[in-house]
Amino acid sequence: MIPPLDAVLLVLVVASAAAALEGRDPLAALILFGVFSFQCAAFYALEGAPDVSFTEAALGATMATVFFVAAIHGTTPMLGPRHPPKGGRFSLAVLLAAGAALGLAARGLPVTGDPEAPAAAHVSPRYIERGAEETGARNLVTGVVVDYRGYDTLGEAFVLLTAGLACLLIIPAAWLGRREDAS
Amino acid sequence: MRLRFGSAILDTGARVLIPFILIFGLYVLFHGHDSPGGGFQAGVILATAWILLRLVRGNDPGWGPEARGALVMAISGVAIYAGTGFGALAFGGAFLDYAAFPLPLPPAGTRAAATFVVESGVGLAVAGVMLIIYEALIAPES
Repeated sequence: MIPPLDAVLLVLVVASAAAALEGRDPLAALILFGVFSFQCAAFYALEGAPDVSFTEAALGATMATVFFVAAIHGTTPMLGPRHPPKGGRFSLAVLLAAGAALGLAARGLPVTGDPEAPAAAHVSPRYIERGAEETGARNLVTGVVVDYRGYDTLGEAFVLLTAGLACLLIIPAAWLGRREDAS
Repeated sequence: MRLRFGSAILDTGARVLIPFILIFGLYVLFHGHDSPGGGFQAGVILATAWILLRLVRGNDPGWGPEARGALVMAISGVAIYAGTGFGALAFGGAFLDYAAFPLPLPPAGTRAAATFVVESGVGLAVAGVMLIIYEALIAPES
């Protein structure tokens, strides 16, 4: 059974996501999106993943909101009357069917924290038993991310740098192009 | 949607908050070995402090790197990480084998020290990239 605090938080997450989608003012939708992110962070913390929660709060909730506000600040929002999309009924039926299938499949997932689960039986026991003495890191997440999985993290750092460079190369050129259009 | 910068309340608020944000970011970086956090989160928090200042003070923040400096930060962060990997190679270990460094420490201590260097690199790279993206996103004054 879902613990009551988790259930309340999950309802709030869904409610803020729905409110963010329904809002007509981009800035209000953004604030609700930030609320959604903070609730997700609280949920991760509750589920015993403080590192993920930390990242979500710092990056997903704070930084992403600032980036979106900066983007909105420099653009003109295009708000027209909202038309219901064509084929909405069909999409809804497909979504409901997919949701039902996923819900049924979720019943076959192992219980959270089950040590017999396939995901926990492969390399995890070694990491958990030997991690502290092998990597010298008492926070197992740091030991795994930087030491055991150092290659992956290096790759991530390069992906991040590439993303930043792409932003720096593409977006200012777009500003420049818009200014030339205006003049 | 252009508003004037520099209200006294915002200025004072930022002045109070930013030192604490910076110290918290450094704490997260230095303590990532023993508690939740690490280079990635520390980098985001440090970037937050500077972006807060940019939000409050506009184009005249008075402190922090320019876009070019942020680019140098990001690239040197990734270079520190990759350089640690190649350094291990130079000392006869495998790529990113932190235990290869000849430090007067037990193997786990050597790994922890190298991990901290790598975490600092990650933090520098993340902070730099955050600043780059923010700088790219704000529209130039026309």
